[in-house]
Amino acid sequence: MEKLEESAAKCGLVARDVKNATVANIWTLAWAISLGVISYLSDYGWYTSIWVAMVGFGIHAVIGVGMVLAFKKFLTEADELERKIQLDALALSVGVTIVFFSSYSVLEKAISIPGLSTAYLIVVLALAYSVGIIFGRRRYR
Amino acid sequence: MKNRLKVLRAERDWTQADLALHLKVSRQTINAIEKGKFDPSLPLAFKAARLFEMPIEDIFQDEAMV
Repeated sequence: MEKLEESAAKCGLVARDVKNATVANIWTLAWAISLGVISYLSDYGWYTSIWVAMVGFGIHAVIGVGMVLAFKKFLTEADELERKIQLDALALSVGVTIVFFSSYSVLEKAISIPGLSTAYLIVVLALAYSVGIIFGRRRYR
Repeated sequence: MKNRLKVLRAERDWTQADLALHLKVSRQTINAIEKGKFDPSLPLAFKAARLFEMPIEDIFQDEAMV
């Protein structure tokens, strides 16, 4: 733990943030993998009964809750500048996603374009969040 | 908000990393505060005041009042 603290301090980071961010990233990775596996199983007809589907849904939901709690812990305990950067990025991602989806739905009614799937929602959120983080880091460098 | 963190740090021959370690924040936070890009929270400002053993207003000044 001391080694983590020392190497984090050398990079100008707080060891607690590095640890919490790593835990949150592991949960996020697990959530993404579970989403992929469950979608794959669904596409190939593995859900032979409602109970199997419920177990799949349950596992994915529990991992999702774990991911949210891990990210909440990271945000709550984060260094105050890091928290500001994260919250600004989250605000940007929510705003961009709402504007993007509302504009697209208006366009969808006006002209003939393909409907949006939920996968796009995650992609737009993730992209806007990443851009927000990059801009935040540059602003306070 | 203006502050004297850089001067106070230099008087003690501390690096930004040293001050960050004392205040339990990241070096980037100290850098952003010193450059006036980021205003610290009240608990952090009090922590700095305790560390330097001086009143909070001797470290941080409202630019409108300066």
